[in-house]
Amino acid sequence: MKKVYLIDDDDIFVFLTKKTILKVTANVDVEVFSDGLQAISHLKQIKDQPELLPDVIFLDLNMPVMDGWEFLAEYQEIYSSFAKENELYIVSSSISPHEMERSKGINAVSEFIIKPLVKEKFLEILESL
Amino acid sequence: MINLPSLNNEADRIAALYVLEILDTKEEAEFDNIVKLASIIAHSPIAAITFVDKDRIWYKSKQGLDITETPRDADTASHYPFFAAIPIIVNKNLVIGHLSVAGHDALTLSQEQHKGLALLAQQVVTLLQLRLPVINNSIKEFYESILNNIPTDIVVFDSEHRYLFANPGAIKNEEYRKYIIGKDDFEYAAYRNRDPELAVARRAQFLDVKNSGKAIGWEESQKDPEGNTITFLRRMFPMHDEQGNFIMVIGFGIDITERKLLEEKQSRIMEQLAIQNTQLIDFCNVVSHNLRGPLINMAMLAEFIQEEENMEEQKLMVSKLEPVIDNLKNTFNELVESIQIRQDNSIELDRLNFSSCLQETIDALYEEITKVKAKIVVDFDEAPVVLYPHKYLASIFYNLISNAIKYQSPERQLSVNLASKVIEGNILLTIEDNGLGIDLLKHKDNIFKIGKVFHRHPDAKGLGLFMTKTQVEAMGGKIWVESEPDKGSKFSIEFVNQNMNW
Repeated sequence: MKKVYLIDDDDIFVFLTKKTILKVTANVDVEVFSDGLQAISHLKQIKDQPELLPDVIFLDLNMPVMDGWEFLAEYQEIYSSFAKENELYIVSSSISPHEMERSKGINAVSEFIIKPLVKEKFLEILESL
Repeated sequence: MINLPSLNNEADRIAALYVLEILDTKEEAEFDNIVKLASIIAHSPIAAITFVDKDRIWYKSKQGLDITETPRDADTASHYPFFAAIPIIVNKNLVIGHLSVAGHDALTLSQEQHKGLALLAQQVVTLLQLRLPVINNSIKEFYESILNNIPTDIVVFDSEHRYLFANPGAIKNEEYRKYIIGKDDFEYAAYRNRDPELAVARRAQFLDVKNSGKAIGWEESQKDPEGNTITFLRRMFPMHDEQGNFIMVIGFGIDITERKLLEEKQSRIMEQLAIQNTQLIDFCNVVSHNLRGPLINMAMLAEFIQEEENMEEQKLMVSKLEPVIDNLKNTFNELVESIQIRQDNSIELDRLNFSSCLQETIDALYEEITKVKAKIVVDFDEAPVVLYPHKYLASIFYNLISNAIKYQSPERQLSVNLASKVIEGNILLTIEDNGLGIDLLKHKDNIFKIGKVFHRHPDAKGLGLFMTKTQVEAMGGKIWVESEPDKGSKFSIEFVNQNMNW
């Protein structure tokens, strides 16, 4: 059972992405956080528990309270101390070259995916784990 | 046989001759008298003053002859049994002509006679030099007519800062211009009943130039009689004589008002462009997020609806389409509105009553306000009226009050305080709430940016404050916020150019 985190404030996108994931495989557990602060607080709590830590994180950029960039700033500090390795993908509706460039400077980011997250892409990610 | 003294150095010789401007001038008694004297001294009937031009010999004065010029190679001397020529020498060694005597009987000049003729030749040079001031005067007139007609202020001071010259560019009135010669700025200020402040400044600048021996330049603005600001670029530089002694200062000023105005206009345009460019980038980002987001959702929903075989699931997804479309429509409308603000440069100002405009907003938000039992306290006594476009003020009130309602604290009753004050001809409007507040340390740069939201709220799209700021700045005003998390926020808006007669 793989564990996937979806950090996104857009309810409908979350609903649809969950559906997409379930179409690929039923063997995935999806947890949803509606902003960066909720996600980072949770990660800090469970960072020593490999059975609770995610395999993949899908992170939106534009969110209230703590946006994707603020989340990444804190995530960068702690992810190497996690009890389990994981991959992080930015999933954003932004097509701004500036934001894509910015994401390349962050080690923790595996790839910048432009929404939507399609079945084929998710399958590829799942197989690479 | 004529024994011409050296006519070497032809170029310099001709230059020296031409400077004197003697060739082809009229007969003059002074020169004629010298010729008569030469004739008397040498006991010879024929005498002449001649100048050697490039290819001719020109006769300035003559006696016993009736010619005005001969070719340069003419052998005049051989026509006479007696002939003597004394060179006319300038600049120590340049021969420009001769004082000649000739006769029909051969004779020899005594030493005394020779000496007499030599003195007369020198007298010719003296006469020629006396003519120079006349030349100087015409050069002076030439330069003065240039100085008097160029559109630049030019003045010349002596070593004691007294005026030697002022052109009409510097002092238009002829009477004043004549008065100032030989005077200094203090005397001139007294004469014109002016404050000596400028004279003090000018004296300091003069002494700076005099003591340092270096030119100075500066820009200076003053009011013309019509009250317009005119800007001059001024320079003062020292002049020294051949020995290096300080003798005078030349000052000039160029009217650069137009250039200055153009520069100011350009820098205003640059600022505006920079702001617009930032807004454009923000705008592109919000378009890509706020519009692209819902579009992707719609496309995915459509695809899933088509693939879905379960009727219930299909219905569920169709029901999800509606909020997405609404969201898209609202975002689109707000974006269009914010573009219009920036394009609307010629919007008209209205004389608005703060109270009645606020009442319109309260009416529009009546349901929300009564639902949360918000307390609204108003003090517009000091500045009840503002000059502003009606729809902008309505939108400012609407955005800030609906924000206050949206982000109220769940722990206390919402209260909103509104007040207006007059500060140096501008009006300051403050809107203060006791809501959730914003962490300014974290969000300082983002607070008025498009698409930024700071709280979890379903209606938060991040356009309100961006739009409010755009509306305020479009009219030259300012908006800022003071806030503390869980204490509340205080928005201040400055309305400029409010010079009304109350």
